[in-house]
Amino acid sequence: VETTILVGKMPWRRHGRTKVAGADEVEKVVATGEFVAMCLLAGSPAVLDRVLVHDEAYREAVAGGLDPVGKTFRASNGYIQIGAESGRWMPELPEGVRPEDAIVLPVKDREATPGEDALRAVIDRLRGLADPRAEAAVQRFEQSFEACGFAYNALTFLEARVELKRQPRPRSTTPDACERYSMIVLTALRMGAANTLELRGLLAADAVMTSEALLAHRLALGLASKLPTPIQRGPALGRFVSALLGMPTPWDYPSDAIALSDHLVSEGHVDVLQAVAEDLDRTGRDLVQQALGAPDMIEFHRQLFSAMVPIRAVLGIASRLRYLNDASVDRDYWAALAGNAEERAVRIGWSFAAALRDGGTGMQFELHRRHVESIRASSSDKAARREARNYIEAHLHYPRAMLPLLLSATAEPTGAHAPRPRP
Amino acid sequence: VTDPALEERVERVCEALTLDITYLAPADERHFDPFAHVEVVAWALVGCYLKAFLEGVTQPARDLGDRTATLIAERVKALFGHEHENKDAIAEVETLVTPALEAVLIDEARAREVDDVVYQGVVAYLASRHLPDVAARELAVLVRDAAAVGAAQTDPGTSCNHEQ
Repeated sequence: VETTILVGKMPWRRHGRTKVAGADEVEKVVATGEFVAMCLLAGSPAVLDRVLVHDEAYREAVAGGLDPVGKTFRASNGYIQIGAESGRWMPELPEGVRPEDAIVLPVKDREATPGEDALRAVIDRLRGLADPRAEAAVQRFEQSFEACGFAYNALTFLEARVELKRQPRPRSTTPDACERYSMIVLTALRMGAANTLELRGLLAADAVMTSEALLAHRLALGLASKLPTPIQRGPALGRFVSALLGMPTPWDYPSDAIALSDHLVSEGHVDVLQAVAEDLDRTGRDLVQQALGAPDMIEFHRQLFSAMVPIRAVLGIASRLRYLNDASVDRDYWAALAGNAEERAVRIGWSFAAALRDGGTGMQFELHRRHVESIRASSSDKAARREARNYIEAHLHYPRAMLPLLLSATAEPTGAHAPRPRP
Repeated sequence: VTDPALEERVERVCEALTLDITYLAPADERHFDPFAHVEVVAWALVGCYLKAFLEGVTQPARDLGDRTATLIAERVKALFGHEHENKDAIAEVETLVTPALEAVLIDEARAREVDDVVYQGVVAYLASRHLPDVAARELAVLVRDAAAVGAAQTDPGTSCNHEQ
């Protein structure tokens, strides 16, 4: 068991020791690229880069002597107050804080793109290897950039609408015919939804499957829109919303997705949106729990990556409805759902940002382990265990299988530290 | 707390609660609270459960569900915006577990009845915070399980809890 956990401690180490033990340079670089692409797709490059740039500014300020406790920082979308052990974000200046006291951290280069640069570096390395496998990987990784772009969803919507116009309406409107048609539609939509959940992963791994997934989406939308009655269209469209919003999206939601939510509300399908959102919320929660239960870091990141899709989909729906003026919409409900989804998305985004910053060196883990150790020395075993669980449960940096390692009094071998013999 | 079973059950509450703690926080604020804070809230939920249970078995259970929801709402609301240690919340649970167990031993049928009402009160509180129904029920079950283990800790094998 120990070996399994240790081997999976850092993705790169696992590739180096087991999966591609003795692998050539191409396989190793591709493995690195897949992980970097996953980080980018999980947070979207714009957000990930912003996080990394601001994080660097924060770290430099703290290293330069700034004590953040009790301070209020100006964020791009509000204010962040830091306490001794926690923090909170508020849209407006917190009560009792003067505007001039809110700290604006100096960012060296607002246009910096460290996340994208990491993937571009991988692409450059692959290009230099002159190997067909490397060329195929380069294509996939370049497509990952495209999938993160703001135009990606709009383009997909456009294609879906063209497909929609081409789909014939059912000829008969008898109950039996409608029922049969509904079954076909739902099957197509389920297929589309299932494909969506894997879409981002596939972009990093298999471009051919991605095309098939997109085709299923177009077909599903076309079929659903032809259902004869609103009652039949409602659930079918709901499935589509679920599928559609689960697609790779940038952090800001495309106007088409907003329009679709508005349309469903105006058609009286708020209940459909609620059912879809709660289903996605549950899926996201389950996937995060599965990630936390993963046996190693590779599986952990894979599950966490999958969780981002439904969580962001909930965020997309709820963020729109929380501000929608419609008597049928309980805005407090949607605000709560949006707030929770946002918090989950931010935590996962940070986890991937931290993993990318660590770059597989294991330095982050070692810093966390030492921090836990220092708490044990200055406080108690319980306090140390609480802090270790904080890294796992609250920050989503590691699966629960890593708890014994975080609590370990001795450094584990990582890329940044000399390996020690294993039993 | 000397009972590892109780601690373990509260840990299960924490693990479920961490992903949903935002629902319990004040509206329009995002809390990136540490696990320590989640622990305090989890222990407070278990404490409120036991307190409401004891109220139910010693007094008429009228409106007990509503009172449970209100009790939890006020308690949890007070926990946000401040940093707390969980020793107070744990101490509260410790003072309540023995009377709760005694109440179960005195009238088990009554205890089951009250237990159900209190459970519904927890669900009602979580629903009032807009936690999706399935998640609310799952969390309430975990809180009830922890409270039941707490009440049984002086007599392993005895529990005021029963399967949903």
